[in-house]
Amino acid sequence: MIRSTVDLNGRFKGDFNMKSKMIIGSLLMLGILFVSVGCGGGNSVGTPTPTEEPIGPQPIPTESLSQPPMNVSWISPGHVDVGNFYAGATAEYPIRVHNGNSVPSIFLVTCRMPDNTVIDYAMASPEAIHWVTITGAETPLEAYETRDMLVSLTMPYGAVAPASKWELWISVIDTSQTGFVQTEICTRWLITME
Amino acid sequence: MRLTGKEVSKMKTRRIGMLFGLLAVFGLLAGLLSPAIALAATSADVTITGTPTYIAITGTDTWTINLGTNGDGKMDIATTYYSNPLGCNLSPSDPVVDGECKFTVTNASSNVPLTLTVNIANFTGGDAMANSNSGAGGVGTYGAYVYSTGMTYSSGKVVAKATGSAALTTNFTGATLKWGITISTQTDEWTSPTAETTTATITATEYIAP
Repeated sequence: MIRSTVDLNGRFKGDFNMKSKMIIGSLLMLGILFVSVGCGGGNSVGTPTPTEEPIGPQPIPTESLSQPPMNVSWISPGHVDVGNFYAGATAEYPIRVHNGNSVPSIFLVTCRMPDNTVIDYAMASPEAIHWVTITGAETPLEAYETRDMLVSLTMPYGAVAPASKWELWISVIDTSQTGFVQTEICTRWLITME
Repeated sequence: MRLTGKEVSKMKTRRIGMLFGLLAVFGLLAGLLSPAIALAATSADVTITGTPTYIAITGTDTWTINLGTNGDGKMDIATTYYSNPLGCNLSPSDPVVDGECKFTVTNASSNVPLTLTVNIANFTGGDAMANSNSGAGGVGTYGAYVYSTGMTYSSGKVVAKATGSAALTTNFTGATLKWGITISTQTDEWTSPTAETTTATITATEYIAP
């Protein structure tokens, strides 16, 4: 039982324990309010406030990369995972391209719709393909040269994602190829929206 | 001290006023703090990771379809041609064997399984047949399939579209894969004597298990 009275001015005149409990309760309410705002702030906003700085570029991890062949053209990485993406955000990651030819060759690096996707991922929309820019997308590489080209995915404010999980391909083609059958190597970008 | 009903009512009104005031302060604080907190949470949320793998394939090749059914060295209309080294008019077996595959793709990737896909573009020059994307030839269009060794050709061959073909093979970890193409020409008469050409592109991507 809490003993308390009020005076004519409406001021609380409870004992010390009751006042302490009220203060502690208020502080708890403030704390709960701050925590709830902090936890819900990122999720409750339909279009979250974007970061000022784009994410990346991130270095390509090489510690577990086995030795690539010198005389065969290759790309790295095999796939890129982008998590918690949203309209207004930018994700950057370099694609490493190696010219396995003994002569200089032009490698065409483009973003394109996937031919097929990983399970649970939807195709990128044609619009989303235009959200990607690639530096040095058509650059001559010297014989056996390896070079990083920055891939930047920027989803415009207010744009609608193709799906909650969607995929695009970064295509690399050696334009010096001739003949009926030619090869193309692609990195999958797997994007998961927040 | 005993309070009259009026005094109690007045006191309750003040307490309610104080409560609303307190809530207003809380609301103001929340409004001031939420953008900063949301910004911090969002900037920390976006994640980007790449796999330490590389993808490399080789396998350029040529194929000239010139074995007309009448032996004149030209392509006939409404005819199916196989890139079968045993004969352009011979359908591969069930299952397909290496000797029935003209092309070889070599996997020089790191220890990563691959998905291989083949797209065949529209022809250019001459009648410029477009890919029907159905596997069958039609008026002004050609159809194409791809197959690989070990496949049950009759039921397993894959339609080769101009873009967006299904995979020829998935979870491929071998060093090489023998494969071939079937092309069915357009059903209407040629209108041009000029040769037409196209390109088949075999694409390698990392296979990611579901």
